[in-house]
Amino acid sequence: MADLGIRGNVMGPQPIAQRQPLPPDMLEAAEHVMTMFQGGEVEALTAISVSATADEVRTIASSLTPGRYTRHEIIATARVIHHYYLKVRMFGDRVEPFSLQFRLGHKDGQWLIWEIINLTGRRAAWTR
Amino acid sequence: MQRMIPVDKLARPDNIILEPLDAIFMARVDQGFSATNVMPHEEDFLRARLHGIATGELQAMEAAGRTLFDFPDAPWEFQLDMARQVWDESRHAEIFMKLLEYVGSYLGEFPEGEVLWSCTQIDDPACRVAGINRGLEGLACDVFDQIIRLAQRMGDPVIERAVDYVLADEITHVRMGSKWMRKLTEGDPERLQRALDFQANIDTLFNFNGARTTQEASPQVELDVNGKEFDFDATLTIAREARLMAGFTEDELDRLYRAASRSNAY
Repeated sequence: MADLGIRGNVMGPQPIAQRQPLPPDMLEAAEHVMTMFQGGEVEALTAISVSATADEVRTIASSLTPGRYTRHEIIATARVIHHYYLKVRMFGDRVEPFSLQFRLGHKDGQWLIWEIINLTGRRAAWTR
Repeated sequence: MQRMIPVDKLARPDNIILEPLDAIFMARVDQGFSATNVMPHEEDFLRARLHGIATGELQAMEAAGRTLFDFPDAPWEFQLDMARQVWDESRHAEIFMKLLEYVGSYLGEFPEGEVLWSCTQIDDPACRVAGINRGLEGLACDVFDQIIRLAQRMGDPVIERAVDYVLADEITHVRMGSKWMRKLTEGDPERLQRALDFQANIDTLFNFNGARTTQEASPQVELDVNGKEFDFDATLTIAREARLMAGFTEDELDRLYRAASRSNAY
């Protein structure tokens, strides 16, 4: 029976499972992907994309000036089973931030980009 | 303030990932799973299902509020019912966010689907309540009924009672939808048919190509939930009793059963 908590204790029902941490190797792969975007490594990025996404990866990577963005931040993550969405924002000096979202999934011993979308400039709740 | 907010202007904090339903399905297919929402036999079922419901309750709260705002000329009693629903859904969102913590998840662990909000993209209040209150909240009756039964098999009264508490409200919401769909279309059979057709589209969408069945037709699979083994539904099941309590007629249930079994054929 679930622990409904002791009446004299305000903590109430305790969790029946623990949170699943994000895989460290996935986060490492994501950092590597962002470093490649910042460095303009178009071919390397295309090489770690599944075929259906390679063109989109190439388009986004080619649109970035190498070195223009020097740092990044992972804004959000989410998962569908064992594939991970990452929403990332890149920053540089005297340049507007660049946001993109991609999905990483492990296949054949490496993390690949399965899906990617450029979020920069898209219509959103706070735009016209 | 804008009326009829489209899907791509749904406001969310940056740390939430919104995805179209077909993209979420594709992520599942890419991993060898079915192009449906998470199914009962999957390891992630409880977490992912409760997460989907939590985000659904948030969108239902927003949808009821939007319906209140988008139709300022609707009858006062309609507006009051929508305001009451906003209050109910905010309470539901709180409950499910607590349940997420209970099962070891958190808001944002999974992407939020846009499909519920996309069902609000209609400019007739009769269609809006047909789609949301009868279609989506009817689906909620199915989902909640199944979770209650799952929790009973697990021996977990926390999930069972929390979801049962919410189901009681959903039944009321469906009844409100039926009431206003008929009242707003009184004397206008074409408008009523449009509302029913809009609802039927949503029902078909959430038949998930055969993944929603009657309880009797649902294959049983072995589950192991927190060390407890038992047989349970392999599909989402239609909650007959809850839907009858919510005011669906036997005819409407038969149509739903037939639509679900037609989806099976594909």
